[in-house]
Amino acid sequence: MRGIHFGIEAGEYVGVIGASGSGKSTLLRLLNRLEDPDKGTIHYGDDDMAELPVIEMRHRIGLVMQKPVVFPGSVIDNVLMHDLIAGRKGDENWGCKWLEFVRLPRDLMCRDAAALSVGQQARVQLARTLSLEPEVLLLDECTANLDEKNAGEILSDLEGLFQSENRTIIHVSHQQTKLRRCRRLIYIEDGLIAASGTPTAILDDPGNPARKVLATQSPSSS
Amino acid sequence: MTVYEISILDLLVCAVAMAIPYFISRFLKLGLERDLLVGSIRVFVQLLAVGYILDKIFAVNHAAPVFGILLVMTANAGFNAAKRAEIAHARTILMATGVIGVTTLAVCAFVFYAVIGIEPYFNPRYVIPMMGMGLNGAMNAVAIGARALDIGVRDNRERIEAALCVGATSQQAVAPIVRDSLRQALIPAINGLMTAGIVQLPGFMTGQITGGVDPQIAVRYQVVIFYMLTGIVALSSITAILLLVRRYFTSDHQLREFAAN
Repeated sequence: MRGIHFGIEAGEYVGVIGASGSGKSTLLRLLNRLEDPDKGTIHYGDDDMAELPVIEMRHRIGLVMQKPVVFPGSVIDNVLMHDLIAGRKGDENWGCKWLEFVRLPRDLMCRDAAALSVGQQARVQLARTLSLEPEVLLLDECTANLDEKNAGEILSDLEGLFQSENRTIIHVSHQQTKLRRCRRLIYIEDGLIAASGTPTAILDDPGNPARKVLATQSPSSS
Repeated sequence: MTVYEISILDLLVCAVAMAIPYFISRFLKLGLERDLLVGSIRVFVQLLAVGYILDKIFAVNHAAPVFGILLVMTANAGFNAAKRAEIAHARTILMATGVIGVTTLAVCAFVFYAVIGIEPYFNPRYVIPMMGMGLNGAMNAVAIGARALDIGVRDNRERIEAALCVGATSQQAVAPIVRDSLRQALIPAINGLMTAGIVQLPGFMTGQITGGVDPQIAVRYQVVIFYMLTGIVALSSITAILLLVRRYFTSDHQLREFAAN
């Protein structure tokens, strides 16, 4: 990525579009500080993110990766992983709240997370990040493994929750149905912001390159 | 007791045994003939050369040549450990050499002076073969541990980053891989303890018995060797793994893009 300059307000729901390898995931990794930019700075509020404590920032800016990852252990241990890492026993009710939020029944909490389906693992991963109560939620195509109905319901609840608490969502996706929920879309091409605007302005403009990229990536969901 | 001398001619006759794997390889097209031939010659030349050098060192009976040969052996062990772990860079070779040398020396010094009580402190008949066994054990342990760590980090990149994402430090995120690498490094030594005397008579003890030492004494030495080796294996592998794991992460708990080889 190079020459990118943009701001996101607290409480915004922003979608990020781009061809494969355009830099969408890199953008999210930079925001979660899994990587740092070679040049330039990223500000969180008035602070340079590089100056803020990285572990604390990863709690405040939660990243849900594209490929579901579960840790050895039960479903509830996976959801409350940050407590286990901190060496304390997490609150099971708190974990179950987020399991139910992602449409997984409480009864699953003692099951071996590795034995779940890929779709269920994707939801456990989302619940794990939500249980951190991040101020900014970064979603990297993480609903791609969910069926349309579940993904729609979860995203709708997420949107409501985050909006009501003035928290931010940045959602990388190639599915138009999901991107239309966003307040603003950013289209990245070759590491640069090539277009930015409302979903209607970008997705309904036949001449917009973002529309073409989405059509080639996901013809069935357009 | 009679110690049967083996002449150079006897060695050449014994090399007939090497014909067995050679012809098996040739018959089954394993493609190992060249390695077998080179290996047969190398073991012959290398060990005769070492025998000659040891002969001279024993005759001189001075600390300098003892430590000289130990340095050469340590450097070789460090280089081979890094090479076998596929992490052979100047820094990692130096690190492996340092770890293997220091940990072997530490445990061996305890055995030499607190257990056996050798005199003089550099007694080459004890120091060179026992340090050699220690260096070999440390080399294998560091190679296995470092390789397991490298493969573990590469294969579990997503899991490590998922742990970092929920606030784990790099040490916490990589801890399961560190544990597994250490386990892999220790298993051969532990297996050796389990089967000693049941499946195989260990080399040091066998050598002493065929050399005319009372079996009661030879087995005690072998027990000392086993305990010493297990200590060296544990200490060298954990030190190497803990030093190596740092190169995979930045100080900001970020997994480096290329876990560089």
